[in-house]
Amino acid sequence: MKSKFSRFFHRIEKIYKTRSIQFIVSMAFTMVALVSMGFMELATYSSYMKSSREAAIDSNMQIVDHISMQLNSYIRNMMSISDSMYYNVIKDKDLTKDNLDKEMSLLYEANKDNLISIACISQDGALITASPVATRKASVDFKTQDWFLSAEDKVENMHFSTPHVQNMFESSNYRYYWVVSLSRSVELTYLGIIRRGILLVDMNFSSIEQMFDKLNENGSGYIYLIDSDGEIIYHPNQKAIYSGLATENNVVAAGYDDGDYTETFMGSKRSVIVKTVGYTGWKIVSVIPNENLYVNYEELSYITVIIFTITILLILLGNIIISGIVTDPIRRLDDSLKYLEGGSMDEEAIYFGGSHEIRHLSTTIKSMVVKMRKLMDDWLKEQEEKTKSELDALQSQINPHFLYNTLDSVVWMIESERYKEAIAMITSLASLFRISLSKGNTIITIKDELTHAANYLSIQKVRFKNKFDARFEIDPAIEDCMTIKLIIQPLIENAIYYGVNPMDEDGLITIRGYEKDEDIFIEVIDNGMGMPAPVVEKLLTHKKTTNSKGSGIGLWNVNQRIRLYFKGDYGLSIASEPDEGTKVTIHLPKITQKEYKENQHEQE
Amino acid sequence: MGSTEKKAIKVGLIMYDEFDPFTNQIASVTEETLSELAYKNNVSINVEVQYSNKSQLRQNDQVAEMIAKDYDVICVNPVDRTDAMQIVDSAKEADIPVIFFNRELVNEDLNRWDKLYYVGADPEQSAIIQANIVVDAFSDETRIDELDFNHDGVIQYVMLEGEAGHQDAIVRTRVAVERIEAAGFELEKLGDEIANWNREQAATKMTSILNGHPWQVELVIANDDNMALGALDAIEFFKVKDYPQIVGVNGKRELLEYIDKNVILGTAYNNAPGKGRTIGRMAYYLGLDMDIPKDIYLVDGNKVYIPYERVDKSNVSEYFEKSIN
Amino acid sequence: MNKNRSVVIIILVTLVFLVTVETVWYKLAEKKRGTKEAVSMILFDDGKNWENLKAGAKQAAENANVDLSIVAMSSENDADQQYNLIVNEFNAGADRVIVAAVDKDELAAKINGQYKGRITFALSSIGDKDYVTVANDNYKMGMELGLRVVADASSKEVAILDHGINRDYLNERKAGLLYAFNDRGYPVEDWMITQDGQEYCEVLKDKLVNSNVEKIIVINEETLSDVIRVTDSIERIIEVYAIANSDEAVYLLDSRKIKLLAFPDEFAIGYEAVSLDNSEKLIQYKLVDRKNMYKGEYEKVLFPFVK
Repeated sequence: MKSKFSRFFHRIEKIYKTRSIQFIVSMAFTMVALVSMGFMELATYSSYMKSSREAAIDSNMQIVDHISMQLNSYIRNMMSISDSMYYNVIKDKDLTKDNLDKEMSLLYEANKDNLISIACISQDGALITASPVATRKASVDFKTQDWFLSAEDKVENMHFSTPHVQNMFESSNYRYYWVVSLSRSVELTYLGIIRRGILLVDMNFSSIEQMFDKLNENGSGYIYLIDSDGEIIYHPNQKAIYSGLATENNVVAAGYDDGDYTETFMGSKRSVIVKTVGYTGWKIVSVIPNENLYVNYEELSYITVIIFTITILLILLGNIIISGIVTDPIRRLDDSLKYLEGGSMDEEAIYFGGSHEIRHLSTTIKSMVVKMRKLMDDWLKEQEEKTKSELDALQSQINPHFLYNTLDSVVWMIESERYKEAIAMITSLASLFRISLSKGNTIITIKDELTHAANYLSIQKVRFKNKFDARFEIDPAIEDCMTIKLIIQPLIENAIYYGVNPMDEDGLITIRGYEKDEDIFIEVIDNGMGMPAPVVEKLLTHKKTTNSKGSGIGLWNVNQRIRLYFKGDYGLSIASEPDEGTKVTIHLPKITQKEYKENQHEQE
Repeated sequence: MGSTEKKAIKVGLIMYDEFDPFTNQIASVTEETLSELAYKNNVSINVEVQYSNKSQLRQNDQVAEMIAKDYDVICVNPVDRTDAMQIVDSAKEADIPVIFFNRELVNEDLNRWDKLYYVGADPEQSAIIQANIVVDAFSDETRIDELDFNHDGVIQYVMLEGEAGHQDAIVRTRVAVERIEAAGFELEKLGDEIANWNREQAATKMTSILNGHPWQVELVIANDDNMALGALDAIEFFKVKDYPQIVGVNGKRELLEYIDKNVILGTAYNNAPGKGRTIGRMAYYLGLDMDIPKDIYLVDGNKVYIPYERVDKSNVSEYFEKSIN
Repeated sequence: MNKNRSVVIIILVTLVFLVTVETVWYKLAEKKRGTKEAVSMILFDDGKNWENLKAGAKQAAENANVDLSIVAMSSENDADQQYNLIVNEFNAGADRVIVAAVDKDELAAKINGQYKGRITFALSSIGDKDYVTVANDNYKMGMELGLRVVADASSKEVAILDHGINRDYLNERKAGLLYAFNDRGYPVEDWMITQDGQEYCEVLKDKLVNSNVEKIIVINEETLSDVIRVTDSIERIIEVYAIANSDEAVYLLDSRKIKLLAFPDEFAIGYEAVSLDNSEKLIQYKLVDRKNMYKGEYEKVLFPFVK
């Protein structure tokens, strides 16, 4: 299990670390698209929400204003009934001889839709007059009722009670009335003597209820009414709240000033608008649960989800398109380069396509591949030639003719009992071959090469019956430097066969070696016949000029080998004057043995 | 029979006010009738009773709601009989039959569609009965002396009216007086007060009148029994020496007892159970898209008048069981 | 290139598919929001005043966006009919049924575990975990009333009036009453008067006249008016106590015809029965007399609505 996990993790890590172009571009595009889409949606959403909320609150404010006006005028109406009764009737009457019946009855009849009763009560709690019903309920003490107490408490004001059931008059049916009592203290005149009393107007609560019921009909929110202490006067769910079956945030709402607020109640957020009704201190509270605040909240969510889905899929689509245009070609180009790494040099296998830049990359890579291939081909050819030359050199190292002739000479010497000369010749031959074969080493010291040349010379001197003489003028400083083998001997061979051999007088071959300008020059000079210029030219360009009598390594070969090995301007140069002589110069770089050994170590 | 038999119907029953014991009795008899029919015929009947709280607007909304909920028939006791247009229009549009009861629409409205019906009683008839009771009493030679307190051959009376502008109140008030006068009696009105069908208000008004005419009132004509009882309360409380004759309408239980004790003269029994049964049956048949049974007699094809019945000392005992509480 | 094309096609197809799914889901949710729960209420019909309970149920239906229909029973009140009605209502598409059981044991037997969690018993408990009950503690209410009667009995004779209607909630109340009297060792008479109307009055009057009972406890609210009529007509003072939920009872309490009233809050029963939260509810009751009936909390329970 754990290994599975770690393998999985590793894969993710790898993908992450690989950070391919595809990944980066995809990520970047997705990020940007998501962020900008998200921003836009957020901005749209929140501005929509905001304006939706504002619109809902505005419309509710209007409703609240409207009902406030209605309620206000209702309350004013009630207050003016009380005023009328008091100022236009009671104040004018002397209650010892007049009664208030007719006027009270008239006022009642004119307003009976909104009133339950009007009553005038004395300070001792006796019923003076009432309309429509004047029969007082048995043993009810008015003095203990709230409307009485509050009127007595503050005589200058009118008092509005909270809703309660009227408990004053006889009734023969089971009917009861919820009322809001409007009570005030009044001056009653008895024969000129002023006594206090209470004027009570009981408002039919059902009028208030109907006013609010109409508003609360649709379900998107509701409006309730509280007094200044937070006691509920009207609530659409009033009865349930009274029974303790439901709750409302009315006490908190009583503390709000007019305006709109957001509150959280029972775990859900809602918008609340509060407006105070004049004189009574009652507050109209409109509650809109947040879900209803936003018009078509669900529809909005639905649209949001749809947009979100489309966005995601569009992003995916976008990713693919970009992939197709940008990153895919890059990847394919990259993939096709793997072939190159594998060693294939086929420029046709390199992918061509995608955008302009990628195509340009592709063509560039193709041309690079072509160049590289050519370079490699050249290099290979060079190597081939090198090998061939070496092979040639190697091959010719052992020229049978040279060997036969030399051995013949030795046999003749032995037969002539010129043993010393024979030994010398065989020793030289052995030494010659030792160097020739020198364990395959292409690079030997100049000293060794000169030794080889000397051996060869000594053999040839004997064979050519001392027809010529050889002289070495070598700067000892160069002896320790390195060279490729078999470059001096072929020159000497040429000098013998083409230089001094045709001559009759003493031939002289001088081998001179010196250092100049940090390079090494070895000259093989003969005072022989010389060559005309065209021949000189041919010598270095013509590949095979095998002299069947010689070792066969032509000047071309030497030149070629030097050039191949040392590169640069190194190689042979020939200067020849017919009848005067020939000078062949070997131009080598100076590489001391020490340097060479260091180089070898490095290469190892 | 048997093609698309409905097995469940919804009946709406809307009363103008829930405190009228009379309409309440009609309603409960209607419900009873419907449940019995339901049980007998294995049909599910759903009755929804609503009260309009004396608001025609509210009633219109209630009707609209029932129409929206696809009720099969609606029975309406209108708040304002002159303002039924909205109900008629919306019912007709939704093809839902309506049975109005107890407050009669004008014929122009009732005849606008053939699935509108009315079940009620003729208010004139109740007043005629009242008048007959009074005439019979005051025609009794043996009693005329004790009835006519001041022996002036004129009946001093007090009229206690129901609501201002109420159709029944207006008709009863007018017809009762007319019929008594038509029978040859002279009437003098000592008081005419509105008591809103309410006992206590009637008592208050009666007291007020008695204050002005403590012993002169010979007859009290009340538009209904509640007010008649209220008048009686006032009279008793006032300790009037000689009680006036009192007539009411409806047949309330308590009043019947007073008739039995000869304290109240008589009343016109308003056959609430009869109305309830009729409405129940009509609702049942209409709701099931069937024809109204032949034994329900329709005046002008759409009205059913359940007659008032005269109740006085001679037959009061028959009515105790049927009375309204 | 082909690979890319097929992926593009897959994406477009997925897009169309997802949009369709979301649209369908939205439409269904919308429809669901539009539909209300259908609740049927079956009440027996034997003269009991259901007004308050119905009002509570209707109020709760409004608040909870429930489609409430109240089913009329005929006067053949028995468990059979109730069971048939319950089945009918469910078949007609009701989501829940509330029933005031006529005979809860028989009804429970007939229901026999069907419609689990979808039936609510109002007024008296069925004591079955699969069905919800919304009721008063009838027994306790009877007991408390009984104790109060005993407390101010001052050696007067007491009788309990039983109309003989065998209903569970009534039986529970009576049991509570009897227990109170037994517990206090106070003697109480148990009068069973099964007649109706005029006959009832006559029988009761007869019993009263021929005994020394001065306090009576009424447990059947439909008999109240008859009882009061009788007590009014008797010379000696009879104090009436009652367990009832009706405007009439409240009126009688107000007019001092009833001395002490145990008032179960049936508005709350109706309300809680319809409210969607499906749990056992024990509803309050109030013991009210003339003095405290207009006080705040009592007033609100005794006079449930603004009319």
